[in-house]
Parts: sequence; C-alpha cells; structure tokens
Amino acid sequence: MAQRITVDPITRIEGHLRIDVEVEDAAITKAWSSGQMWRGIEVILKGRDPRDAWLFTQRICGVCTTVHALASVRTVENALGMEIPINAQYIRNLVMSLHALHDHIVHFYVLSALDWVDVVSALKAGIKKTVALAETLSNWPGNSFNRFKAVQEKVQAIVDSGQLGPFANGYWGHPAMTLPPEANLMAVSHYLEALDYQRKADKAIAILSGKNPHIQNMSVGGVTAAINPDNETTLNIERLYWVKQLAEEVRGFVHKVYLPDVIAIGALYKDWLAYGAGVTNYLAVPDMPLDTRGTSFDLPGGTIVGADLKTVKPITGFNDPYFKENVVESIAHSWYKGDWSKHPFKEETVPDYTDFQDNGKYSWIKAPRFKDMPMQVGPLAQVLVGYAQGHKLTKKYVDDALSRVSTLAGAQVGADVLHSTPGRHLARAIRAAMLSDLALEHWDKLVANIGTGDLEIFNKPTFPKGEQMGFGFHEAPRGTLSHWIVIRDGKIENYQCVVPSTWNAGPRDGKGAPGPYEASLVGNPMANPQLPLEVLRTIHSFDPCIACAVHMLDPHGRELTRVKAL
Amino acid sequence: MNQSPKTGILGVGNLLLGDEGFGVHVINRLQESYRFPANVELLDGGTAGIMLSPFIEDKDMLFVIDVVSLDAEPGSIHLFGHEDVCAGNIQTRMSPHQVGLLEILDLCRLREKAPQRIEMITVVPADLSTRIGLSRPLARAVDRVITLLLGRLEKIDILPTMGVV
Repeated sequence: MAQRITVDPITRIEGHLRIDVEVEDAAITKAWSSGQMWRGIEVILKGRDPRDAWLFTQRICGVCTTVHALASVRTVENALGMEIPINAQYIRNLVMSLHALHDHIVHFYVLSALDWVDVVSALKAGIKKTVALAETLSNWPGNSFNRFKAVQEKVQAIVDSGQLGPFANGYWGHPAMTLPPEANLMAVSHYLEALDYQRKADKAIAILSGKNPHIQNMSVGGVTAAINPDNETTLNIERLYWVKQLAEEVRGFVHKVYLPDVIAIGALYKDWLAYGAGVTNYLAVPDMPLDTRGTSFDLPGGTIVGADLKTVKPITGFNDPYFKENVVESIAHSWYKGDWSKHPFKEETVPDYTDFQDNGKYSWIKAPRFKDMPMQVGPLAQVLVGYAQGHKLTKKYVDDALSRVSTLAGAQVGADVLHSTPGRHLARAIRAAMLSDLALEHWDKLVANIGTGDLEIFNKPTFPKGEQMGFGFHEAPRGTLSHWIVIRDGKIENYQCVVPSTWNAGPRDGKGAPGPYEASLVGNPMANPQLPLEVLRTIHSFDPCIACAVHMLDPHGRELTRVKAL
Repeated sequence: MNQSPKTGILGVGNLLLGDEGFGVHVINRLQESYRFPANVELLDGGTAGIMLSPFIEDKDMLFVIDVVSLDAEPGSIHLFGHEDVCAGNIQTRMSPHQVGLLEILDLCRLREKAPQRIEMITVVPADLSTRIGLSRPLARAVDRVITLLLGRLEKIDILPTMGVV
C-alpha cells in the first residue's frame, strides 16, 4: 500500500523546507520539495544606490553573507563594464575560498555526518581498533588512543545523562546505520574537532575583511582593505602571514581528516552510490579569476547534459552570453502571480499563496532553468565540469579519491558513482581540497604582486545617465549564485538573486519536470516511514540552505514527520 | 566567577525583515551610545548560525538579544534565564533557523567551552515584513531592553560609560 510521508521541517538546514514523498514497496516513488518561506527580499533594493546593494544582499542569509556580497559587487561592475585591480581580485579570491572551506567543513560534520554516523554505536568501539582504522586513512595527530578514549567517555557521559544535546534528533540504531563502531567513534572525534578548523577559516576572513559575519571590505570597483606592508592599521605583512598560517592549518584538516572521512564513508556505504542521482544536468560557473576583467580562472565552469561528460560546454568568463542568455525562472508551481518563465532582468515578484497543491502551486521557491532544462548545481557540478574539461587539479583529486574509495570498498569504482548521494559529499570534499591548495596559491600571488610595489585595490565606479543591465556570478559553496541588476540613472530599477538552492530545491516547471531535490529522492530506499532517515541523507547531501531568512526563538516544539496511508 | 568575567552581548536577527532585526538594532544603539570595559564584547550576529560559536565559546557570561515567537503583546519583553536555556524550555531546533542558537550552545557545551551563564532578553515582534527599521512598539522597546541589560550588567560590576569613542 502506498504511503504519503511529509517531513516538515527538514532539520539541520538553514531555512524552512518541507519534503513530501510517496512510498511504495519500501522505496520512494514520487517527491515534492516545498520552500515554506517567502523569498523576495530583493524588493528592498529598488531605488537604492547600486554601490550599497552588496551591504543589503549579504543580510539576505546568515550563512551566505560573503557570497551575496561578492556576487553583488561583481554584478554592478558588470553593468558598468568595469575591471578591478588584480590585488582586489586576489583578496576576494582568498575571502571566497576561506569562506567555502568554513562552509564545507561545517556542512559535512555539523549538518550531515549524523545521517551516516551512529553516535551511540561509538560506545561499542575498541579504542585500539579505532586507532588502527584511523591510521589506514591518514597520519592526523588527533587520531590518538588518548583522544579516542576521551571522546568515548564523553559520549558515555552524555548518553548516561539523558541530555543528548546536539545528538538528540539522531536516528540511533536505525537499520540504515551500518558503519562499524570504530568508524563511528572516529567520526564523532572529528566532529568535535571540526569546529576548531571552521573557526580558523572564519578568523582568516575576519583579518582580511574587518568583520565576520558580514564582511566589510568589499566595494564596487575593488576592495577597501588598504594594503601597506609596513603600516599597523592596514593589511600588512604580519596580518598576511597570520592569514597564511590559518589557511595552512585548515588545509591540513581538509587533507588529513575531512577528505579521508568522506572517502571512508563513501566506501563503507557503497550501496548508496547507486542512489540519489536525480537531475544529471549540471551547471557551474568559473571562479577565482586570475585577471582584472574575469576572463581566466583557476576553477572552470560549464554545463553537462544527461550525465554525459562529453556534452560539456564551458562558461568562459564574467561576460559569457552562454550564461547570460540562457537563465530563466518559472513560477508554474510557485506561489507567485501568473504562470510564466522569465529572464531575471524581466522578472517581478508578486506573491500569490494557495494551499499545497500536488499538481498546482506548492512552493515559495521559483524553478530556475537553463536552456529550459532543470540543472543540478553545487560542488558535484563544479567537479564534474572540471573533470570533463580535463582540468588538471580536478582530475588529480577525483582520480585519487576514486582509487581510494575503490581500495576501501574492495571494488573498482569510476567517476559515474559521483552521480549519487554520497557522490555529492565526495565532490564537496574534493572541492575543499582544491580550494585549500588554491587559497595558498592566491596568497602567494597576492604577496608577489605587492612585492612589485603595486598596492592598488580600487577603481572608482561612475554611473552614466540612462539604463545599464548587468549580471554577476559566484560559484558559492552550494553552487552557482547569480545576481541580476537593472540600473536607471544611477539607481536600482530591478534586482534579482538566483540562488544555488533555488536551482536545487525548486519545484516542477511548466513542463512538469521536477527539480533536483525531487528527482533525487525517487528510487531511494525507505526502511521505516516513521523514521525517514533516507530522505534526510539525500536532501542533506545537497547542503540545503533556503533560509535567506529569519532567526526567531520558538518556545514551542512541533512534530517533524507525518505519515498518512493513501 | 573571577574579577572580570568575559562577557558577550550578542544581538541576532535579520535587518531586512523589520522587527526580526531587533537584536542587531540594539547592538548598533549600544555601540553608538556607550563605551564598555575591555572584558565586554558586542556582536551583531545577524542570522549567522555556527559562525557564532567562536564568540560564544570564549565567554564566561553571555547575553542574547532576539525576538521571540510568543502569543503576547508586541513589544513585550520576555527574559529567559540560564535555567530555562539549560532545561530546554525553549527550542530553536525546530524553528525556521535550524542550526539555532540553542543547538550551538549544546555543541559548545559538548566541547566544554560553553559560557557559565546565559541569559536571553527577547521581545515579541509586531511586523516581520520585508523592510528596514523597527515598528513603533519595538522602536520603543529598544531603550527598555537596554535599561534592563545595563541593570543585569551592573549586577556583575560592569559599568559602561555614556558617549562615543
């Protein structure tokens, strides 16, 4: 008999997301993804000075502050046809990569590891066996007998106290939790360490940006982080070396803990490599520009259609018409007035709430499409478009990770396993490894350029009379983020943000094609509809963030899962 | 507690959603109008989640200013003391902000780096629509919250002075 399951809200994400699935014979047959919060903050920008837009857009979301700041300044610069000094480009690249490193580490350990790791099972782990397991993965100093013993005692104390804290909502003992106790203990230990390293990344951003959250050093035309190697109040050599030190420590954690952990979990859950592919059209934009105009990049962008790497088509720069002309948003199934697909320059945002209608409107999220196709965005898209184009750094890390998964799983796996729920985690960890290398490379480039005596950080923007249109993108931790602006006589006439989670979490479009979350759930197993762990695994693997949003204390609890026989 | 406990005043909320930004408005007012001793740190936390953990972890005493979803008069102030926070009488885990402040506090506690005392000073919002600025009842509540906060600080011998740096 078919059952309808509603998970509302999905926990451990930013924002309010509702997922409905139909289950038959212990597998998901149909799914709906519904954003339960209105997203229309852009209206606040109308009539304002375009130079201030980034300060507002970075308040849209509490997690993605930096990414909206960066996309916004790029957007206004694009509308004005500006270049920025190379120092500003490098500083932005450093901020962007450190932010992504923070975000990827937090996502894996704090927001999704508990979908795969059974904390209570860690109590049964042998300490010596845990050390032995960890040694096969890396030589991280934190993988010691004393450390694992202390962590196990801490878990015991928590379980004895009955106050499970952050572990309270876990699915302990769920039949889909199949890691050996030693792997669970190792993962809990790394979970507790992860916070120290995401914090180092944050600290480095704060040194470069003055403040975090809400960086203060962006500006249309460059950055405001004045460089003077010998001045105490500016970005000087001492501060630059502090940033380097922190970036190196974060790199160590990514290479020796995060990436090996994800490889191990991918291998130990190898059955899951068959689930969660969903939409296999991919979109990523290039990032970490290497010149003042944004025509060459350290991270490639492009599109792939239907999981076929041979279809890859590159997106080459900040002005590429292939990106600019092919993005539309559909509201056929979204709570906005009308039934249109429009280019972001021409969109309007007029809310029109109905109830949740399975075949009608059911989400506040719009459905973005590229050449009328749904696209999956995020680290997996970025890694695949790089891999398909033979990008050296991507190829090195992907091939290495797949060979380590193969060894641990005892079965040869190829790049096709990346189209899956664990594949998204693996791609994110690979991207983190690449970013941790590139952050240090861009640090070197910045310092070398300062060494030539070039201290320029800012080109002054000027706003001509009349209308200008521009777009700016950034390959954010959750994928392709684009902002779109229409400026008239120096004021904002229209502003739209097409955010990564809109691409992934959006509803069906006018042709009935489901979005990536929806498609990825179909075919997933479901051991116990009362405890829909499998839904969380697949949705969390996208790193959902749909808050853009609010922060209110709620003194009342509410039920999380409703199951209904159909 | 030692002579000068490290004290944090954390204002959270979204500035673009009217009263939702109350905590941030209070921090801005405090920074404009008062000078605090060196052991006190103020933070506009926005709607950040886990990013707030470094700020929280190195404090002995933490005051949080936020809005609260209660069926009470807009602008009314509700205090949640340390015991309420610890006993789990309030939940943010199931609120829209899924990595809520309380979850972060749990995590800090697990790492044995949590403040010894936490107090939440919260206000019931009137208007959460997309706009910048507070509604009238909440604009009036800013001064009342600041008076209340200064009273709490005085109890632990923290006496800010009026005036801009």
